[in-house]
Amino acid sequence: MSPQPQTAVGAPLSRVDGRLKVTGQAKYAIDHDIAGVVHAVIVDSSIGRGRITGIDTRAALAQPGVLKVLSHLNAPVLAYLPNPLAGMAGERLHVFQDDKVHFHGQPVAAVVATTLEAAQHGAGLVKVTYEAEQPSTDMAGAPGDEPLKYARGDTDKALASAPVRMEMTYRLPRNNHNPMEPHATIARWDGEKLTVWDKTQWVVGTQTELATVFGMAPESVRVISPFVGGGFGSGLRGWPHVIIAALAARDTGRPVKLSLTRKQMFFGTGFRPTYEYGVRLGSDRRGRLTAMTHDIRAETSRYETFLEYTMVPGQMLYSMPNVSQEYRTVPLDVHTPLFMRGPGYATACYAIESAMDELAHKVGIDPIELRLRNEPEEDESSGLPFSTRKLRECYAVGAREFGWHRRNPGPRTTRDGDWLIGTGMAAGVYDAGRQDAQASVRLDADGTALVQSATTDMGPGTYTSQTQLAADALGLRMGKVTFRLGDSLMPYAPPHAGAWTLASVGSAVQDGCDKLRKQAIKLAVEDDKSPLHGADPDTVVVSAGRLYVKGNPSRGETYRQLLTRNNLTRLETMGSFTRPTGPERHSLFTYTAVFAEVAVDARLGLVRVRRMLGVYDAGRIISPELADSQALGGMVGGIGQALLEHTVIDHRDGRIVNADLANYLVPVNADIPDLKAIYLDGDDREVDPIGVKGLGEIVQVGVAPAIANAVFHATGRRIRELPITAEALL
Amino acid sequence: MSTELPESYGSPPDGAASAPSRRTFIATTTAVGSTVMAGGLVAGASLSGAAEASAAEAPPSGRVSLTVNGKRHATVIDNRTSLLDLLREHFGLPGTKKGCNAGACGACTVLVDGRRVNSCLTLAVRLDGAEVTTIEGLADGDELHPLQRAFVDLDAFQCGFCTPGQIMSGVGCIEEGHTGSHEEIREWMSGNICRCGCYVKIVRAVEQTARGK
Amino acid sequence: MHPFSFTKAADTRSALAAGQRGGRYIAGGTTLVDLMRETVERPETLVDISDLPLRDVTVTERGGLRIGALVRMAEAAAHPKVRTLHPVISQALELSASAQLRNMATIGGNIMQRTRCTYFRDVTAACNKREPGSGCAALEGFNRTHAILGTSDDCVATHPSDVAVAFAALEARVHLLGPDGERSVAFADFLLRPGSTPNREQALRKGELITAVEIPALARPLKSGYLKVRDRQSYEFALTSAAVALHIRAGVIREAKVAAGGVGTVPWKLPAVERHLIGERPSKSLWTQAAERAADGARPLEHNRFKTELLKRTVERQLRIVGGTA
Repeated sequence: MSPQPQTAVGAPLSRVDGRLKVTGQAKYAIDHDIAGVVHAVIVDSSIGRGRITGIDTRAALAQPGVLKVLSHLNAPVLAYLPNPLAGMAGERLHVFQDDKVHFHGQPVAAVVATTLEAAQHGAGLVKVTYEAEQPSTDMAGAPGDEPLKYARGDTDKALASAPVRMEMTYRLPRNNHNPMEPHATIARWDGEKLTVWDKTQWVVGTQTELATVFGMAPESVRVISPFVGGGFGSGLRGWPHVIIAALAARDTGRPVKLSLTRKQMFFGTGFRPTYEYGVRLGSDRRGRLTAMTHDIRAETSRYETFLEYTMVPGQMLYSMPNVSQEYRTVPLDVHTPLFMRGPGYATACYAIESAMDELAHKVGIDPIELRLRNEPEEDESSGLPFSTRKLRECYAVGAREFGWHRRNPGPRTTRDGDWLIGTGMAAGVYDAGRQDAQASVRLDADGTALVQSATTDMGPGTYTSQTQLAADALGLRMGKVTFRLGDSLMPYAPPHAGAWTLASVGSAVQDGCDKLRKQAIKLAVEDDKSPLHGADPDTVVVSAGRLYVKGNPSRGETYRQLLTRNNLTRLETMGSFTRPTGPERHSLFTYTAVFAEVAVDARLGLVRVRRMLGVYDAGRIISPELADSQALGGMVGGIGQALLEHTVIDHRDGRIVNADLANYLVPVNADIPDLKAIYLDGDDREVDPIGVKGLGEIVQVGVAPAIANAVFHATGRRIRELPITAEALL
Repeated sequence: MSTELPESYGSPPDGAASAPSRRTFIATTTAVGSTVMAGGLVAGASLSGAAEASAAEAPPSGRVSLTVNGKRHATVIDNRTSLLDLLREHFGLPGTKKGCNAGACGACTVLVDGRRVNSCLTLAVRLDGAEVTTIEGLADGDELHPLQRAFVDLDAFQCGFCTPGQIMSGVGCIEEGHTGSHEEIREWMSGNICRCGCYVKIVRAVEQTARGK
Repeated sequence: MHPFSFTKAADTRSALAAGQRGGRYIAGGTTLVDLMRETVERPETLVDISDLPLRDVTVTERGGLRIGALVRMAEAAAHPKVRTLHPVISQALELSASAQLRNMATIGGNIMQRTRCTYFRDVTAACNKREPGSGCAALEGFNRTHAILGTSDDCVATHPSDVAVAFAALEARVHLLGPDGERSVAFADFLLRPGSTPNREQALRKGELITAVEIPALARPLKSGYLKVRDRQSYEFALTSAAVALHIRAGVIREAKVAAGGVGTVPWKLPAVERHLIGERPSKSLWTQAAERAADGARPLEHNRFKTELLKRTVERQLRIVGGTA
C-alpha cells in the first residue's frame, strides 16, 4: 500500500477531459486539421466471393478533383511481413495485392480526390466487373475446423447416471461494435516517415501493422490517437482502410483522410461472431451439478482463425466433477471477427446462465439458491485458489437491493395490464487480466507533473483515472497533473482492451510516480538546506505539492522549493509494470450478478426492460463516478444484445443487408429505464499492485441472460436465440 | 434459399457507373469551398483541397451567406456539400460529428434558426440567410452552457463522440419544452444514439438543466 | 452523390416552371438527400420549394382540416387544431423518426418518402423499383420488414410513413397543383400499389406539386389514435401499426376509420374491419372479431410470417384503446 494519502483515488470526480468533450474541442482521428489533406473513399466488392475481372476507372478519373483510383491493377507490391502482434492463425487480408474477392464488401479500389464530394462521387463511378462464385456464409450446416477440446472427469458416464438431464442449444447472432465514431485515418508521409492519426485502441498495434505491411522499421511509423469515439473492441486491429490511407498518401504525395462509412463499418472492421452453443447437463434432484458438456461453434473467415476465451466460464464458474468442451470454428466467406465487449465470456455466460435458469425451474429451486449450491471452493479448472471471488456477496447484495425475495417463483404469474412482468438474474465472470506497461513521469520545477503512456481512452476514463493515481502517488492536486496518451512515441502500453488498462497502465503510473516521489524525498533528506534534512525517508509524505514528515506537517517544503534550490528544472522517471512470469498462484477473475425486470406484451411480442441492477466484484475502484457510467453502459450494451442487435447476411451473395443504424438496431434513450450499479468493496493485490481487477468487460457479461431469464419468468416461454424479438414471442 | 444468383446480382446495375456525370458549370465560380467574409477572400486555415478542384471544371456550386455561431460567412460551395461537411471540412468546426451520415444517429445535430436538425441531411446550399449554432458556439466565452456543465457534473458521456449532438439536441429539447418527465425526455432525446450507453445520465442532465431554467 | 444544379423557387409559378423542366422538388430533404448520397436518387436539378406559401393549417368552410404541404412534421403534430380534431395524426407524427427529423421533414415530403427496403437502398442489389426489370432481391432475400399486403411478384417493399396511415384511415385528399391548375386526389388513389411498375409510386403528373393534405369533415365526436409496434421503443419504422378513428353515438359505432402501416406496399385501409364495426356496440369480442379481418389477403414472405398475426393483434389492441372495453 502506498504511504501517500489517497485523496483523488476513490473520489467521485468528473472527467479531466470533460470540458473538451462538451465543447467539441476533443479531437478524434478525422478531426485533425492537416495541411494539404485530400480525401479517399473506398469502393467495396459487390460480390461475396470470386475474382475481379476488370476495373473501369475512366468515369471516375474524369471527375473534377479526382486524383487517383487505386486498386490491385496499379498498387505497389507491399511487404506484408508477419505481424508479431497479430495473435491469430492464418494470414490477414492483403489490400489491393491481387484479384481475389474473399467476402462481400472487401475493398477493391479507392478513389482519392481533392474534395470529399468528388471522392465519394468518384467511388460510385468506378465500374468493377467480377467473376462471381457462390459464397458460403451460413454457419448452419457448414463444416467446422478441428475443435479445441477440454475435459475433466467422465461426462458421458455422469450424464448417463444423472437423475436430472437436460439438453439445450442456444444461438447468438453476429453483433457489430458500431462505436459512434466511424473508423477513420489520416495518413501523411514526410520522406520515409509515416504519421497516421487513427481511431485505434492500440497505437502500438497499428504502428506495428503499418510497419510490417510497408516493410519499414516501427520507429519510422508514428500513430496518434488522443481521443477514440468508442470502440468496444473494433479498434484492436490495424484494418485494411488504414493501409489504404497510407498507400494513397504515398502514391499521391499528399496527406490523405479516409473515413469508413457507417455501412463500411460492418465489413471494414470486425464483429462478435455468430455462435451455436449446445449444452448438456446433469444434476441431482437438489440441483447439484454433476456434469456439463459444451458444444460450441463460431464463425470465422477462411483466411484467419478467430478464437476467443469462450471455453473459460464452462470450466470454472460452477463446481462439478465432469466437464467436456469442444470449440469449433467454422470458416466461411466472411471477413474475420474480432473481440467485442465481454468477448467469449458474454457468449458463454448467455448459454450457461440460461441453462442454469432452466435447471432451476426444472428442479424447483430458486435461481440464486441453485447457484449457491454449485459455488466452487477453488478454481476447478486449475486447482488454484481464487484471489478474490465475491460472487456470493454479489448475489446477497443484489437480491437485497433488487427485492428478489418478493418474487413469485412461478412463471407467468404477474401481470400489469397488457404486460406480463418477470424478473431474472444471471451470474457473469471475466478474466482479471493485466499486461506489461510503461509510463514516463516528469515533475517540473513549477510543481506540475506530466505523465505519459501510449495507452488509449475510448470512453472508460483513462485520462481521469491515471491522473487520479498519479496525483495521489506524487502528492499533487489533480489540476497539477497532466496525463497524456495515444501516441506511439510514448512509453509502451498494451491494447486498450480486456479491461486491463487500469491494472496495467495504472500500475506503471503508480510505479513511476512512487519512484519519482521517492527520488524527491531522497533529494530533500540528503539536502542540508532542506527542512527535511536527515529525516527518515519512509516518514516523509507529499500532499498538495508539499513534502513533510508525517505527523509533523510543519517540517517540510514544496517540490518547487526543493527543485529550485537544487537548480533542477525537473525530475524524471520511467514507471513500469511487468506481468508476473511463471505460473499463476491464484485464479484471477472479476464477477457479477445481474438482475433484470422486464415487461412483456405477449400479444404484441414486445419486451421492455423496466429496471436493472448489476453488482460487481471488480476489485478496487479508482473512479467511482466513471465506473458507474461504465456499468450502466455495459447494461445498455447487454440490452441491445438481448433484444435488438443482429447483423443479417443474405446468404445468396454474402451481402450484409442491415448495414446501417436504422436497421442494425442499438438501444435508444427510450429503451433504457433507470439502471443501477453497485461495486462491492474490494482490493485485489494478487492481480496488480493497485488492487483493481478491471471492469470494462464484466459489465456486459450476464446482462443478456438475465433479461432472457426474466422473459421466461414473465411469459413461461424459453427463447433460446438472441435477440428476443416479436416473432419468437407471438 | 436460392443458390443461384439472380440476374443483375453481383454487378452494379447499368447507369450506376455508366455515363460520366453531366458537366454543369457556373461561370462565376472561381473558388469552391473557400470562405469569403465581408467582401474579402479569407483563405482557410489549411490549403483547401477544394480550391484546386475549381481550376477547369467545377461541379455545380452555389453561393450562400449564413451565420455560424454568431459569425457571418459568405461562401461558394459545391451543391452536394452537407451542412455537416461545410462545418467540418470548410469552416474548421469539427465539433459536430458524423456518426452515420444518414439521419439515423443524431451525432450531427445542430441548431438551424433555433431548431435542432440533422446537419448531415441538410444541404448547405439551401441555408442562405440561416443562423446555425454548433457545439463550438454554445458556451459564453469560458462560461459553459448549463447543459454542458450538467453533462460534465453528472458524467453524461464516456467516449464523448455523440456528446456534441446530444447536447445540441438537449438544448433543442429543453427549448421545445419536452422535459416534463423522465419518460418524455427519453422519447424526445431518442434521436441521439449513445453507444457507450449514457442515457440514464443524459436524461438527468437534461432534466436538471430544464429545471434550472 | 451525383452533381446537380440547384435553384430556389421564389413562388409557386417559378417552382412549377422548374418542375416542368424536370427539376426535382426538395422540401425537408430528409429522404431525398439520404437517397442521393446512396446514389439511389440522381436528380439533375433540385428545386427548393421551402419558401412557397404552403405552411398553413386551416379548418375549411366544409369543416375539413387542411394541412399545407410544407408544414413540418413537428409543427403539424403540435398544432392545436390537429391535436384536438385528429389525435391520430399527431400521434402518428410524434411516433415517427426523431425530433430532429420531424423539425426538418414536411407533410408533403412525408407522404412522398420512399421505401426503406435495404435492397432498394443498395444500388448493387436487384430492385425493380429502382431499376425496372432488374428483379426483386427482397422477394427471396431478407424480408422481415417487408409488406404482406398489396405486394406483387415485382415488389414487396413497405411504404414507411406513419402519418400516411392516419391519412389513409381518415380518407384524406391530396391537393395538387400543376401547369393545368389544381386538382385533388383521394389518398387511396394517390399512393400506387407496385403491380408490375413499382417504380411508379404516386399518381403525380410531371411537375405537379403537393399543396396540401385535407381531412374531410367527419362526424363528431370522433375518438382516434395511432399504435405503432416496433422492436425498439423509438426512432424506428413500424413492424405493424394501426390508425383508428371511431364515431360512437348512443353506445353504437356509427363510423369507423381503420388503416394499418408497416404491412402494406401502401398505407393499408381496412374496409372489412370498418364494416364489421359499424352498427355494433363496442366490446372486447367485437374488437377481436373485427380485427380478424385485418390481414385478409395477406401474402407473407419467409421472414415476415409473424406480421399476419401481429397485424390482427395490433388492430385489435388499437380498437380497444380507442373504443374502450365496455
